[in-house]
Amino acid sequence: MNPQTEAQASPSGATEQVTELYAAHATGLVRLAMLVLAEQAAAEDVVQDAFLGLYRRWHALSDPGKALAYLRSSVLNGCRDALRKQSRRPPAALLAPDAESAEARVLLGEEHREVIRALRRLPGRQREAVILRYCLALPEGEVASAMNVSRGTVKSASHRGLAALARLLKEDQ
Amino acid sequence: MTIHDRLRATTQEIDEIMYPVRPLALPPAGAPARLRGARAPRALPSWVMPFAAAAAIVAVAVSLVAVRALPGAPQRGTSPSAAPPAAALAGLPRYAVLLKPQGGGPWVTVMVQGPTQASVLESLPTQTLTYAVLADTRTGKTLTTVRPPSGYTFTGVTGAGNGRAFVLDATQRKLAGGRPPTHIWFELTPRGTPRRLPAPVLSGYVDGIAVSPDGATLAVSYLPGALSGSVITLATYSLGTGRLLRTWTGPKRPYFVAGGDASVRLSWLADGRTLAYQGVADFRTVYLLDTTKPGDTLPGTSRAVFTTPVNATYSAGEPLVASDGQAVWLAVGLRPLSVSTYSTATGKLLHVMYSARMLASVLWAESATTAIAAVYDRAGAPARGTEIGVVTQGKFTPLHLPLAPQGIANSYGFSTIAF
Repeated sequence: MNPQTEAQASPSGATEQVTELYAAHATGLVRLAMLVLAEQAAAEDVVQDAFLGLYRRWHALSDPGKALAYLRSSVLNGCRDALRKQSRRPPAALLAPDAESAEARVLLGEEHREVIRALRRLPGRQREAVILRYCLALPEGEVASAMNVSRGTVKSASHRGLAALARLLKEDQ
Repeated sequence: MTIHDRLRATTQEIDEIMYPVRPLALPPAGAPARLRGARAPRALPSWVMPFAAAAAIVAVAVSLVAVRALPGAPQRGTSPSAAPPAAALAGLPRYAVLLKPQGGGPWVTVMVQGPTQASVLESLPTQTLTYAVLADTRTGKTLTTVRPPSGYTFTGVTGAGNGRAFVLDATQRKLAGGRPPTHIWFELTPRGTPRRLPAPVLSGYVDGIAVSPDGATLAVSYLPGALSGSVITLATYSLGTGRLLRTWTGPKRPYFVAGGDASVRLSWLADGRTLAYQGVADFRTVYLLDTTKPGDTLPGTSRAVFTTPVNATYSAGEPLVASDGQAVWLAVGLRPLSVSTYSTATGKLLHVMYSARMLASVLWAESATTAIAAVYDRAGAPARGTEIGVVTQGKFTPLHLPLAPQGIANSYGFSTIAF
């Protein structure tokens, strides 16, 4: 069944298909957002917004097969917005110091928080390329679709990002 | 370790600490879709607050809001396939109230992860309109569905634990100018008829409520002003007259610290005068507050009765003091996770009561022997997602409450089920 046609014919078609996509990909997308935001609540907010955006635009989606790339792209956009907001607030939950932190119960180990802190210091494009390519092990083509850039840009951004990340982590030690 | 290894390890670690993602909240069919993430603007300067609060109260007064049951209530509910054995339910609360989003099935957000996110407090009332469902715990049937008054949504529920009364927190949905939301309160009895309570019209960010066993007193923990920099306040109100009975303030430091998270879990002991709370001063410690004793600060009037062991891999719900005050129920560990009881007298482990594969949260406990808990993927059973049931030593008897298939979702501190 063509999801686009069904969505136009029946709003519930969009509901079902977006819900199915959510069941299949929400966890992976939250993982992506958590790598950027270091906070599950914020990550889930971003992912929910991405799915709501998809739901609203379902009828305009030219190729439903591209929905996942659209969602990844939306999540990255949402993360950028959230990072801007976070920069005006106290540190994100998973980066909070252990002592007296209300999040100490479910925290990343210090070595992992170092990695996330370093990721957050990378320029946006490099950070996204490194996360998608090396943390989530996506093929270059999918990374390029999610970032709306060419494969060449993915290669250069991920290469530079990785080098910068190594430098930052070395500095921290 | 190479940089690639470190990235993979961090990703794997995030997988380990992630909780099940909450269900997708899509707008109901036919309704205009709206991005849920629309945040309330930042708070206004503090001098505006009294005027804002006064305006909100006046607005509420003139709006003559009324709660009404949905047409035809009490409605025919879903019939569970098999009711739990009556013996397992003896002495347990007969009724439960669950909050459910409009257009969706009832789902439960319980104290899974604990910390309340400041952003959640801000955004909660702007989210999907939430209804309240009164259900029979023995049959699982929905008895009544109640919709909130116009302009409000239900954001919290508390129960007396004995079927006498439930109190619903109805929170103002549109927050103009970054004002804290206004809260009004409704009582829902097993008869299913909601009643607007005389008090209090409260302006602030509420993150914990508890109704006393006799259904006469409501305890509320809230931030009276802006989220940032506010000191937590605990207040008790007479539900009969609406009169403010007592207030206590928390430690003189901003409530939202270290990442913007905190949490309060409030519950009354069966004596009707002692409040148990956790999360105000130290999230790992449970305190008891004798509400009849003099004093107006929480640190000065409370005593600590239990602290989560520092070596516990703490992954789930908040500790809950059994209403007899003798034991604390706590879920600790990661895959598997143990629901355990600890003595409030000694702080020592009493029993490991049950193990779940992933997460659990204790919702109601009368003593050290029996509790109602939500568990996710119980050990030794086919994966069923979230279930709510009775936990006794080594045994879990599911209650067939009307949950959506997704069942449970992270709440970061908000209880949307009460007994």
